[in-house]
Amino acid sequence: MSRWLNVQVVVALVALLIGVLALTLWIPNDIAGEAINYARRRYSIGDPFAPILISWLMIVAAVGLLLSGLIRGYGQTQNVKVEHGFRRSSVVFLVGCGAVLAITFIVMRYAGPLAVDWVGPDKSYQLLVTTPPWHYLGYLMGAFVLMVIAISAVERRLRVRTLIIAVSVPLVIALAYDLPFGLILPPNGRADAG
Amino acid sequence: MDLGIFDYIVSGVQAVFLGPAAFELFGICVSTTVLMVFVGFLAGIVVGATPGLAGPMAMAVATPILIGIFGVGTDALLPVLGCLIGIMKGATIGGAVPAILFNTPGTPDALTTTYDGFPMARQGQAGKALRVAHLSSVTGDTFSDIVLIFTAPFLAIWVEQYLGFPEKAALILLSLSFIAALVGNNVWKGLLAAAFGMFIAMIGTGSGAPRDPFAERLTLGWDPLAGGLDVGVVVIGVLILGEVFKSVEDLVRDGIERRQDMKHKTGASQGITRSELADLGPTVGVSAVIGTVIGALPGVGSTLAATLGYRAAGLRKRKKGEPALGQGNQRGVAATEAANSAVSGANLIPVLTLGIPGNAAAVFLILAMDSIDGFNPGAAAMVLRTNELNPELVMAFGIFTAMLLANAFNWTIGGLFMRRVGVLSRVPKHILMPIVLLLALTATYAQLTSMTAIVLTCVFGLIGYLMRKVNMSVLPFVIAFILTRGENGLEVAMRKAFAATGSDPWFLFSSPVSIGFMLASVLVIVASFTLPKFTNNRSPR
Repeated sequence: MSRWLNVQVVVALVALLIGVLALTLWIPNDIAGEAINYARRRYSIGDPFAPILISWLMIVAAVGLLLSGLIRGYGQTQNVKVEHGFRRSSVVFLVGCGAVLAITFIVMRYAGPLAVDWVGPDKSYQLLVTTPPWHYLGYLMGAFVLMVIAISAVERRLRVRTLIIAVSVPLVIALAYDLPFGLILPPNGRADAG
Repeated sequence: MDLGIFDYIVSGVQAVFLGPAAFELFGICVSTTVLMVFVGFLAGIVVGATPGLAGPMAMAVATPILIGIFGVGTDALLPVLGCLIGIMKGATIGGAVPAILFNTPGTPDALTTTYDGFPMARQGQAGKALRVAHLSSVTGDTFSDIVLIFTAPFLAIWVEQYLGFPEKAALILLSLSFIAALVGNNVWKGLLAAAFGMFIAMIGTGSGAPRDPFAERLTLGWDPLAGGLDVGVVVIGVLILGEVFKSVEDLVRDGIERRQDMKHKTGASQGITRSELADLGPTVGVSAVIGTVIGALPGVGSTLAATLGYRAAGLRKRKKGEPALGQGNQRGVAATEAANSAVSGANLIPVLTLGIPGNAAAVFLILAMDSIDGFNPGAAAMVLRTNELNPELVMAFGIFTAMLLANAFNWTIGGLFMRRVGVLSRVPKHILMPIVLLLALTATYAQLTSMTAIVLTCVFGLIGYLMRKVNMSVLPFVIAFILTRGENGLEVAMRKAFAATGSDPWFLFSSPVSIGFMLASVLVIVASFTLPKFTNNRSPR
């Protein structure tokens, strides 16, 4: 990375962009009314006031960070390797992490209904969301996927111990939540859970 | 009716001990609050003793679960807060266990405990080091609680008398400046983090447009954002999931760190003699004062208190034959543990008098207080009314009682229990992190029962991860979010101050007190450009 383009400068530019976009596009189009309202011979603070003020704070802080980053870059005599910030591995990790979480949530959401359709009683899943084992299925299978992938990625191999942990830990959590306290496990809650 | 302070104290103690019974023991009813303080305290020691976990993590997971179990009625307040206070206190002493036995601080504020605790363990004095750590920790903690109990009500009276809406708005700005300036390694990044947190708090319902008080704002037309972002979603996402994602990435990249099997000598005396106790007294006293003062300041956490306490211990002249600090001197252990534990009580001074959280642990206490009916943290809660009962003051004394109860558990069984949990230090971090992730997501769901909430928590986890990657502290973000939103937040305070001063645009400078706070805000920011930075950014604290 160039000595001018250090992490601090990149963060500042991103923050500056967010602040400017908020001021010019987001706030004018997504908040009704004026920053200061005048009604019944009185002035009052309107809904856009605080977001506008905060956006300006963001811009000022971003400019300060940008300048201090540039000064720091100027003080360095050669291109330096950044200690923090993104490498290619971070992007790979983020994509992988997002994919694992997406798979986990899809399994959590659909494993129960699919299991009921295939091998369950002749009822819809909606009628069984409080009935064991159907209401555990999505949670246990989704959690299994999450734990197996996360642990194996660090250990760089799939071990029997990992499988045992991935089965037993979610089961213990599910039972601990459900049996004594009757807390609702994913995805059996409100309508947006399906 | 003529109520005195004593009536409130008695009512608070009764609320803890004579509240709804959990079970009967030898014919005596044990109240749910007592049970929850006990459970929280033991869980806190376990969490503190496990490297990779920390008190705020356990509090984050526990808060939604406890609210799910006990609900949000007034009866839930003391059991939930009691459990969280127990976790907070237990985690502080638990952090010393792996620091002494395995040279690995269980919590970031136990780093300086390793400097002398581990050498002591290698010299066959592990038991003694643990005893010193426990004794110092519980002494510092108790001292801090006493300071809280005696100062908070008086401070609250002062706040109530002298702080109107303009002063409260200015005070919130001062707190935000303090946190943005002192936490992390760069003032501009701190200010940016605070600005991001405040902006996120703006999303949702606008609070006072004259013709449409429930107008949505900044929702991008997405219905789940219409009511604003849930505090739990933001806080758990940024503080906990962000840390989990970062830790998992480090583990995936660097592989598993093999912990050496530490074989310690045995046979040396593990007890503390009277002369040693007398020798440790001044060190513990100085550290307890340092920790209490630091704890009362918003944003400056227990890691700084531990470091300053340790340095203060280094100023004292060594006795003949006494090892130097860093080479197994028990004063090093005592100084660190007394200082970091003394933070936990004083932390609640800004919480109870101003509703301002000082650190991550206090964030979760405020989160619980916000979610449950019956106690709005702030000066109004602490007002002594003599003609009619102020139920919030009763709750405040209930909270003090729960803190002292946790201390009583700490004095009696804390030492014994902490010496038994060393084995937990061996649980690998790469197995713990996915479990924490799963627990945090499940806990969020248990409270909000919505998959959208889980996805949003992950989005804020991503934000927390990105902030850590660019070395931007997450604490200003979280605290700014909390201080800006809601009925007691900065925006509402500014609206009310503007109205109360007859639409004076200079309302933040309308009284000497508010001018003082505003000047102090500027001074803190300016001074912080020249002062060293304190906080360990890897920690969620």
